[in-house]
Amino acid sequence: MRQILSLLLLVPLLGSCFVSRATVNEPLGSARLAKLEPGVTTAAEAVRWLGAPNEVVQLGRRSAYRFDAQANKRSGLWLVVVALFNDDTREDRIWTFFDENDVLTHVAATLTFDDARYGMPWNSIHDDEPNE
Amino acid sequence: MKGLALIVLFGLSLGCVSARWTRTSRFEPVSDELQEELAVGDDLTPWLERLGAPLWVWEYEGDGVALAYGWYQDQNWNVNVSVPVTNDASASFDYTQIDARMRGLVLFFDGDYRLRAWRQGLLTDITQGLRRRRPNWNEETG
Repeated sequence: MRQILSLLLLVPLLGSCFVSRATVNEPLGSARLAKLEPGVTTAAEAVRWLGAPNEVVQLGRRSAYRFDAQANKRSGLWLVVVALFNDDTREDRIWTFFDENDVLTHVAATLTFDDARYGMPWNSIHDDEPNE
Repeated sequence: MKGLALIVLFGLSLGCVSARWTRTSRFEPVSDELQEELAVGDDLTPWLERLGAPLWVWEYEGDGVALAYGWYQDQNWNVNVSVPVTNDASASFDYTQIDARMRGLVLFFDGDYRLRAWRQGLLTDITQGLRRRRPNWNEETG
């Protein structure tokens, strides 16, 4: 009995860890981005290909639509009294700019949904990536 | 004495007192080298290609546009006197508010999509005048 009790008291002293992944929306991807053609694509076509925009901004008589998908990866480690966490979020994000006739004039895209990574606080997990 | 030591040890092991090292990374920073290449009069298109999609877009002086790029890389140590039940940070990025820790770069383009100015620093500070209620556009008055 005493041995069992001793073992039970030792359980909280053991370390533990977790990893979790959360996503918001489907990745946009380069294939759908390639369909967007300034001077040709209309707002209706952009919405058909990319889905409902997350935000629409009015720019005078013009407008801009934001489409995005997010990936978040977390990891953690508990070592008795020390807890270590890492939290990394990356996105696919596309802004489309339309003129007063709802024809596409500009596109801006950042496709990094797949770059979210697990790590520990001391890891520089994105140091190998370029800034542009 | 031995019993007290055991109780203290047990309390520590349950997480009543814990040290927490957290690293949070949101998006990629715009490099200083790239920012040094900005010049008044630059066209919007090549900068969109180089910087990618901004986090926020706002109307700027009528037909103009302001683009905000933001990021933060945060590391901190905390000593908690509590039982850590969950890690309660939000998993998704919230576009409806700007995190006070977020640094960024804002580019201001005029109605011809030519670069007029840019600012860098804490996004909450440099975007205060932009994050106002958006005006309603009236078909008749423009």
